[in-house]
This record gives sequence, C-alpha cells and structure tokens, in this order.
Amino acid sequence: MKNRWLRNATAFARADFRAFLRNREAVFWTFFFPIFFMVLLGLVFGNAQVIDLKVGVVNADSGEASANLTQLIDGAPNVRVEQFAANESAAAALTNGDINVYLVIPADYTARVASSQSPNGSNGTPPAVLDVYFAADTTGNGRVALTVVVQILSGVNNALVQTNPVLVPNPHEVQVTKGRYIDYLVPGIIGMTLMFNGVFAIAGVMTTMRQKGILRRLKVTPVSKSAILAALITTRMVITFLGVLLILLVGVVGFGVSLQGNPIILVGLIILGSLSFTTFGFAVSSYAKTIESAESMANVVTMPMMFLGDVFLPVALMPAFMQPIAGALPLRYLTEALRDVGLNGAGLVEIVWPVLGVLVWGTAGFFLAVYLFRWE
Amino acid sequence: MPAIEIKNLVKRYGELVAVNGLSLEVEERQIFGILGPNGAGKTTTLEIVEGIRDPDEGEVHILGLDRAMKKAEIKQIIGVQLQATATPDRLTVRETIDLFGTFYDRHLPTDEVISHVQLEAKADDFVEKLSGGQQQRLAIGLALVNDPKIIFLDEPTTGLDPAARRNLWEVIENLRKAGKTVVLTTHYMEEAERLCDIVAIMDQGKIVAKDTPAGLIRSLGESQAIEFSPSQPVAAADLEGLPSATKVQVADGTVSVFTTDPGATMHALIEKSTKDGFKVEGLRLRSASLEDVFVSLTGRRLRE
Repeated sequence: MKNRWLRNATAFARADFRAFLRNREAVFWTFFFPIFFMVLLGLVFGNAQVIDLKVGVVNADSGEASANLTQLIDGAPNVRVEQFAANESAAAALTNGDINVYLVIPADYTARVASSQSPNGSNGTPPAVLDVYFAADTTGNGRVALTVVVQILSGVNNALVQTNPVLVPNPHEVQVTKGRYIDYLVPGIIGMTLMFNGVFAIAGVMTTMRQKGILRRLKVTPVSKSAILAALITTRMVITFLGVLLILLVGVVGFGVSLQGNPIILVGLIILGSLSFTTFGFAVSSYAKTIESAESMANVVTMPMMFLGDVFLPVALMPAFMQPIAGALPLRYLTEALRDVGLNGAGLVEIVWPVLGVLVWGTAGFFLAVYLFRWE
Repeated sequence: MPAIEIKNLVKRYGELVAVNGLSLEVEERQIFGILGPNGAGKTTTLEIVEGIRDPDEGEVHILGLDRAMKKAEIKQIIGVQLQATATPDRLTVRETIDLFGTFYDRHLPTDEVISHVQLEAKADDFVEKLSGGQQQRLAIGLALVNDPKIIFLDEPTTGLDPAARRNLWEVIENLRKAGKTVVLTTHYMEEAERLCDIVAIMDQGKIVAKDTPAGLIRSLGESQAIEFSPSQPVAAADLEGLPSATKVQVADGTVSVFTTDPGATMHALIEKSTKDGFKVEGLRLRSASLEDVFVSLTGRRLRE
C-alpha cells in the first residue's frame, strides 16, 4: 500500500517535472525572470556604496577643535561626512546602510584638546574617548571606514605632540543587514522566487488540472489523492531549489556576493517559505473557477508583496504609513530571515521572530487552503 | 453473476431529479448501450457506477462488489473513458499511458495499449497535438491500461467526424472480441444499432425500454415508415385513416407514418395533401429505427 503510494507519487512527480521543463514560458518565468531582474538591478545599482565611504558625525561639542576634526574627516579621499544631531538617528542610518560608520564627539572634546596643549596640564588629563560605531556588513566598507577614522584620529594625536594619546578611539561593531545593494537584493530575489513558485505555480497547475477535468479522470483510477498533492508540492520544491541555486550562482560568481550562515538553516528557511506560499497557491486555486481568474488572483496576492515585501526596496525607505503594512507581509518576514542568515550569518535564535511570522502566515494559509479545498 | 447490477438508483441536484429510481442489470461480455437524449441522466448514472459521484439512494454492485464499500477494488477492475477526458499537458501518448499504468496493481504493456487503439504512429506525439478522434482513442486506451473486466465509455463518438467515428467503432468492436463487458452511452441511434448487443433507452432519469436493437424495433410492429415534413401542422389523428397505416408519429414537425404497404399509403397521402391544401416536403421511405422506438416511447426525438 505504502509502496504503491510512493510509486504513484514518484511517477506523477516525474511526469509533472518533465511537463514543466517542456513549458518554455514557465521555465522562463521561473528561472530567468528573477535572474533578469537581479542582473539588471545589480548592474545599475549593485555597487552603489563601494566608491564613497559615508561617515556620520554626532558632534556634541560646539568648539573649534571638533569642527576641525569633522573637516579633517570630510577632507579624506572618498569620504563624505554626514552630520547627525543625536546618537539614535545616526544608529538608524547605520543599520539602514546609509552610512558606514559614525563617530561620537564628546561635549568636552575642545576643552580636553585645549588642556592637553597647556604647558602643565597635559599628563594629568585623561584622554578623550571617542565612540566609533561601524557597520559589520558583508562589503567590509564599515571596517574600511573605521580604519580611515582611526587613522585620522591618530594623525590628530600626532599633531598634538604628546607622550600620552589625547584621543582614544573606541570602536563598536554594529551588525547591519545592508551592505551593497546587490547583497541586499539576492535574498530578496530568492524570497520572491519562493513566493512566485508557491503561489503562481501551484495555483496554475491545480486550477488547470481541475478545470480541464484531469483530477476527475484521476479520481476513477486507484491513485491516491494525497500522492498527487505530494507529487505536485515536491516538484515545485525541486524547481524552487533549482531556481535558488541559479540565483546564488549568478549572485556569488557574477556579483561577488558572499554567502554566510548555516546552509542547513538556509535550506530549512527555503522549505518553510516554499510550503507557506504553497498554501496560498492551493487557496487561490480552490477559490478561482477558471485558469484566468486564478492567474488574476495570484497576481493580486503576489504583486503587492513583490514591491512591498522588502525585495527591491527596504521597508525603512517606504513612506511611514506603509511601513507597518509592508512589515507584516509574509514575504517581508521571509526576506528578513533570509537576509539575517545569508548575509549576517545569524543563527536560529536570532531569526525567531521572522520565522514565527512566516509560520503564522503559513498556518493561516494552510487552514484557508484546507477550508476552501475542492477536487472538482 | 451480472457484470453490473443497479437497484433503485436516485440522484437529485436540488429540485432536479437526474436519476429517478433506475434499476438495471448488465450481463458480462456484452456491449451494453444506454441511449437517450441530452439530460436524460445517462452520464450521471455512469458517473455513479464509476465512483465519481455518490447516489442519494440505491445500490450498485460491480461483479458482485458493493460500490459503496469496495471502491478501491472496483477501481482496479474497471476502465473509464469520461465524456471529456483530459490528461496532463505536455506529455506524449506513450508517457501518458505509462503514467496511468503505474496507478494500477497490474497493467498492460504500453505498446499493447497503443496497438489496441491504433495509435502506433502517434505514440511519441504530444497529446494536445492529436486530432479529436485520436484523442478519443487515447481516452479509450487509458481505459484499457489495467486490462479491465468492465469498460465504461461515455459518449465516445460525440463530436467526431464520420470517418473517425467508424474508426472508433472498430476499436470498440474489438473489445467485445477480447471478451470485455462494455457499457456505453450515446445519443446516436445508428451507433447503438451497430455496436450494442443490448440497448436500454433512458429518458428523464429512468430506463423506459431494454432489449436488443432488433427486438426494440420489432416492438413497433412495422419495419417501414413514410417520413415527411408538412408545410403546415397536421394532426396525427387525420393521417391514421390512410390505407395500410398502422401508426402515426408527429415529433418536431416531422411526421412518420408506419405502414404495411408503403405504396398504397404514399399514394393516399399525396391525394390527401392536395385535398387538405398542405405540401408534402422532404418525403422519404425508410426503415424503422431506434429513433422511432424512442419517439414512440417518449413522444420526443433523440436529437433536437
């Protein structure tokens, strides 16, 4: 019995996969459409942050020395300074990838520099500690910027001609998800592929099989329905993994994206994401009467997510009223988890929330799909 | 043991009673035809027997197996061609037959199925590229993959051109030679006459007559009919007085006068038409057919 189930499922999956490969249009949309997007955007915006380093300065001191320091940094090659009023705004800019590093100049900076210059006060004065926060992104730009800042500070020290350093940089590493645009883009494109394969492919194949009466014909054979469903889901999963591999290949070889994180967690995320979106596909196919309406509905489900789901555009850059909506989308949770693991090497504990988000959506989709499901 | 035994089958769709207390027995090794107009309940009956639908009332036994209890066993020994058989896209004839074969515990070699339905030349073509007749032959081939004891064919030749229809008849006749039991529905009387050992005439969810085609025609009492379309409506009662006429049927503007002496009746008919002032159009003499049996049983024609 079990043996027959497996044999039937395998035979059906093989036929389904073969039929997919013969469908040029489907192959194009599944494999080359995401790659096309990625290459296009990657070529235009991919290295956007490599050439210039952006250094944020939070200057609590109104004295002349701090202004000189800021100017000195701004004058360094390939460096641009951006001023921030408060630590919080600089930190947000850093995590968003808008700046690579930021420096906090304490309020007594000018005073300390001045006292170090006075003939008798030098050795007794404790050095000024400058907090430097740098982005630990995949591009290494954060570390480069840190080095630049540290070099400038040591230059200032040397100029002050003291035995004890007057300025002591205090580096802080900050985990950020955004490096170059292409680094940001690759996990997004992977998420998008999972979504399209789950929603579109399943909705398409199920609606076609029902509308054309293929499911009715199968009903009069001894093949079990669960074997057919399992075969369809498995085939889409295999196709999804092939698509992901292709995206990674182009990303890593073509754009030098470096892949972090535990591969097992990544594979698990891809399976979880695929299955979650598959439930949407089944729900759409059961709700829609015709292939055309299934396609339109799949569009309604996927298109807003494609643009709001943190694929091409960070949610943080969207208008404020959009952010809570975009942030709650299943694709957003998935791309967030994929980025945390794939770019920053996050472990399971660090992606609990986005994974939970995907799970909640997947479970809701599952019950909806089961509730709506029909064979005829 | 009958191949199929149906008792008091009832199927309702809301107000509509599609099958209305139907009982039927089909013996083994026959081609059994269910003849009836569209909407008579043929397909619904077949789909209940095949296991696609469940009846509201009644019982079905297939080779002694209770349909309600032994669905899995029954599926192994029946072959089904649905009215519109669809197969997965982008597979060849051979791949499709292979796939369906794996669903059964026991199945015929794919090449044997292909030769049964004469698709050797098309074996490696995609199914969607086949002509209507070839697709229908594949549908029958798929009904044969498990070497079934009973084969159900639902309107196998509907929509086919005459050549494709004759070709399909040959395939079906070969099934009888192979000792299969075939149950087919049709609304083509010539198909029922040519293929079927037994014909059941179905109307409004019930079997109204069941016999061999010859037996059914014999039940009319006469074997010849004068058929014509009058230029204005003529009452059947007016024509019953024609010499040698035994029965008059009027259906959809076509009049059939059954007669024991066609010459005398026709002569009198022409005279009467001149006297009563109507024209006799499309006059012809023909043999009585299952169509006449249907009209005499129901007062309507098979096809509108």
